[in-house]
Amino acid sequence: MQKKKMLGLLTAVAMSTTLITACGDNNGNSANTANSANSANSGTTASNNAAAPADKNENASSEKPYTVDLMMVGDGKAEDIKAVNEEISKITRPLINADVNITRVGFGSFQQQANLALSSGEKMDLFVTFALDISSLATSGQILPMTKLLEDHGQDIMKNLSEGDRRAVSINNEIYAIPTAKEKATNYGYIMRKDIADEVGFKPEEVKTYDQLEEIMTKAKKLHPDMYPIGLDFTNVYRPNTEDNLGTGPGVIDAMGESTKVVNMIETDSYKDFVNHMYKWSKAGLVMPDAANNSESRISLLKAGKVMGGFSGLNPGNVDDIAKQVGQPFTVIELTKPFSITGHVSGMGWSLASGSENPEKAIEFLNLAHTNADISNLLVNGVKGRNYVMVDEAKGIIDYPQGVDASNTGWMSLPWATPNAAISYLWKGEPENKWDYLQQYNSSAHQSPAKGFRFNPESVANEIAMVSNVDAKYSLALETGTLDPAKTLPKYLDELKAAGVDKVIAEKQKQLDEWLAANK
Amino acid sequence: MLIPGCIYIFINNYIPMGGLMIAFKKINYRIGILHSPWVGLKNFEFLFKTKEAWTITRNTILYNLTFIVIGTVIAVGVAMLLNQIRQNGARKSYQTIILLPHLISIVVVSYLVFGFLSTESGFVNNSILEPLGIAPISWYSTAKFWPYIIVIVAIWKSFGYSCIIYYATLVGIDKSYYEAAVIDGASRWKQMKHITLPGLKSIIIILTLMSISKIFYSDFGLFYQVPMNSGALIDITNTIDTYVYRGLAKLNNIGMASAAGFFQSIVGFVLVILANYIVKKIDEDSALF
Amino acid sequence: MVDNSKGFHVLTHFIMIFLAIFCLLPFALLLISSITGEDALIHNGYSFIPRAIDFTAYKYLLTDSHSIVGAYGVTVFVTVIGTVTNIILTTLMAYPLSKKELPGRNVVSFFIFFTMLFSGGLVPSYMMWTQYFHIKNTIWALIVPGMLLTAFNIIMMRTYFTSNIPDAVVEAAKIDGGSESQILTKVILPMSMPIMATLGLLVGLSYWNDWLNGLYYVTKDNLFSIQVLLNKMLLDVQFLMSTASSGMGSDLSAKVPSTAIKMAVAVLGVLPIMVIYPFFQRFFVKGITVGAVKG
Repeated sequence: MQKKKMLGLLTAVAMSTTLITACGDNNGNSANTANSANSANSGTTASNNAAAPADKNENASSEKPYTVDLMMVGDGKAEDIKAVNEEISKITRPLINADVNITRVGFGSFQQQANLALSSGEKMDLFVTFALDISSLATSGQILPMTKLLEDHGQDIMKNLSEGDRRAVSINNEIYAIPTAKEKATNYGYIMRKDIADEVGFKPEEVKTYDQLEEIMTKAKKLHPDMYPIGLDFTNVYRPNTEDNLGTGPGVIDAMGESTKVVNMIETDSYKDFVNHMYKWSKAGLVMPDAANNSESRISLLKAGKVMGGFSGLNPGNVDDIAKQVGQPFTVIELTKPFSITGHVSGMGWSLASGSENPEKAIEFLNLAHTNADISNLLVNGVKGRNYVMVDEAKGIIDYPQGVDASNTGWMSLPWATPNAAISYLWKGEPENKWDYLQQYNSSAHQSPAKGFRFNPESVANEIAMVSNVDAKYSLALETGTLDPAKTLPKYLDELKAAGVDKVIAEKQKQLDEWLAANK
Repeated sequence: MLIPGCIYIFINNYIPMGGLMIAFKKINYRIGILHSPWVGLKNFEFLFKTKEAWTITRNTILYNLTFIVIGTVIAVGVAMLLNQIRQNGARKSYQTIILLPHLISIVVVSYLVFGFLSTESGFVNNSILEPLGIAPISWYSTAKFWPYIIVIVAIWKSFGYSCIIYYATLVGIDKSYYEAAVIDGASRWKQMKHITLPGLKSIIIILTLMSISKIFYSDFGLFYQVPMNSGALIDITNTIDTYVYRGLAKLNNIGMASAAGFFQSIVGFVLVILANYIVKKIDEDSALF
Repeated sequence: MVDNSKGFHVLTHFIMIFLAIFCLLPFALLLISSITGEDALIHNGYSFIPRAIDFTAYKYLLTDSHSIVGAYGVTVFVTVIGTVTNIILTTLMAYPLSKKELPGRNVVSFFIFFTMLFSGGLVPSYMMWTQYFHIKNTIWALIVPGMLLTAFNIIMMRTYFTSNIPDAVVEAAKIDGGSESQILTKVILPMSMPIMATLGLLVGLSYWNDWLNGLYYVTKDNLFSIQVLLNKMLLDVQFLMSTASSGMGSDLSAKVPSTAIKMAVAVLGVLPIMVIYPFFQRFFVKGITVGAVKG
């Protein structure tokens, strides 16, 4: 018995080794081929690849269609996903001889499931980089470089990719993601329910400083003692700032300025100014209580009348959306001007998984999704008649069918997470110039001097892990005004230094200087 | 008879164990786990370099020891009390009710704790402290209460579950022993001491050994969700698991995460071998292996 | 047991009632908050006396009845199949191991116990189950990985066999000419009802409450169990709490279910167990009588 078991144990080890080797080999092969000519030309796909776009149809009839696997964020019911799959396949089969198979994953579990799929060598072609960072995906070999493939099979995408955006999604001059159609900049401000703002009476465009804001909030609080002027969205404060965080880890530069000196965020005047005010406001009862532990969305808080406003990102459509959900118009005080950093562009894009068995087809599909309005509509809004109905055919405006709304639809519509929503229909209530306005917002935003740079945290991973733990202790408590900055900030800084924050900042500076020199 | 089980354990547990090597590698999935370069102990550095190393180790071990001691005493005590109750209906109701906390997801528990402790509208501040004329306490920013709160929540959530195990063992004890004891005129206390506790001895030892093997682990939900990740409480609630989570949330580094798990396993392994050795010296039958 | 001091019994009940309240109060809070109006919840916090009773959460869940009923179906199927298989496998392992004369007993025990300490991690397990056993998006994904047989249960049952079943009983059965499998089914099992019931309950609960397998291996909503459904909602909230979301903030915030709905799903996950459990308890009692007769 004993011998048998020992034998068993040995076999176990042997088998586990083969298992991992096997996976390794699979991945190794695809990696090698991908590298060799930057497009995976393994035997079977070679003929496919060689076929010029012109003989696509001929090709289509003779070969079994390839199934392009997509992973999208947001909920979808199984039967609706099936319907969308079928509708898209109907279009793609004659055009590129491909079917699609969509997997939708809720946003709370997306990171986990996408990571598992990307780590296991599972077959997957395209996915949205929601809550994922393309740098770490690329360094750990979970995604494939796309430049050559795009030049061959994605000309329409390349045509529309601006030089700035291209740099922001590139690592070592290789494109790793195609950004979606959304705002690629941000700015911050304060919003307040319009009825209360009118009662207080002020001109939003004249408010520029925290002290002016304080005056308004104090008046509002006096008029409505049971409501708090500053509410949070879960634990997001939306601190007004113009910082470029340069990627993971501490160390920022001012996106609005010319200087490229990396500094510790908590030592900046703007940060100190904000946390000092928050502490004061919190003491004065202007900030909702237990703000640092808030588990409610601001929409619920505003709807219930517990809070009357708060800081907010002012990306196009954001406040309109809040107003629609809450059922009240809002007055907006703009506190910072729009700026754009690398993360604003690369934060949401579509990448090519290294588990793809036919990267050329995948890119052909992505290209089609960018140009074909029917496919785009299916991906963004689902199936007509099932997930939406036309309200205005000429203007392309849609709405939910009878009895369906955002909370029970079988196909959650998230335009900003879909390849190219700019060619899809608009939902009722959205401004008709949504996409033009977005375009204008993006192009008018101030570009950070480090836009296109991305920090590689590998050499200082230990320090970042330690710094993150210090941040968890202080950052939210300071930003919500729970702790006294006069006492806490020096302690915070000491602990950060002990955790190695300076080493991270120095490394960031070094990499940034090298990048600036190379990209003059 | 052993074969089906062994096959399952072999597949489910031993085949993936090759993954332990991830802790010593810099993983690149494109070349595969096996071919990824070795990096020695580099992935472990972040656990030891930090100033927090002492705090998180101390917290993890102290909390676990407290859970083991108090948890066992309460669960055994309640199981013995249950065994004394002869009204069927009452015993069944108690048994059902004390299992309730185990059934509630820890995240939901964290909302309920917040319901009790929230500064403005919490039950404790509003309905207990206020009538007593005590000023409301800002629970989530006052660290000194939290060791007690954590222990209370942990015991509350788990004692019904371990109680079932002890109770099942108790009802399995041969009734004739008690009958003989009663004839000999043994008191209730003596019966407990000489029949009940010895009957539970093996199971108590086994469960304790198993807890010792997990002494470097902590329930993430209990230490992260229940204190609502509140900064002011971190020194007192940070354990190895929460430290690793907070540290790696931004890095997405599977090597470092595996290293932490490997470290926790090794410590548990050494401790449990040691404890098992001691148990074996004293009472051969109760040892794990 | 004949000793019947009244004071002792009163004290016993007193302690048990105290513990019962200690366990019931938070559950009551859960139940009440699931029927409190969303606005009242946000304004007044969780309260034992709701200012406004509101069944919207349950109504909402029932209009979407397809998913709740389906989720119950998945949960029940997984719990029943998983528990039965688990108990059979556990018994088959634990019985031989309880025999002192089994050669290599300690080695096998160690082989089992080792799995409690070391694991290869999620990614290798996921690779194996999905790439070689193809269980992704099948009902088996909720049953097989990690939960079909655990070291903890084997050790528990083995301990019970060694400490509660006298060798004399087994010897006697052997002398009567019983084969090993006859001894197991005719002698050992009837004497082991309490541990079978207990482990059955514990395994059943872990299947009922499991959501991690669902999170890892299932993306199709028609395979979501009730706990996967609940935990998906909770994860959505946690995601929004932990991510400073720019550009997707309001869009996603609006799609998170309200607190009352989360509480209602939690209640729906707990209630069936509360209903079934008392029926289950009879096995504990049966165990005593059978054991007493044989012993």
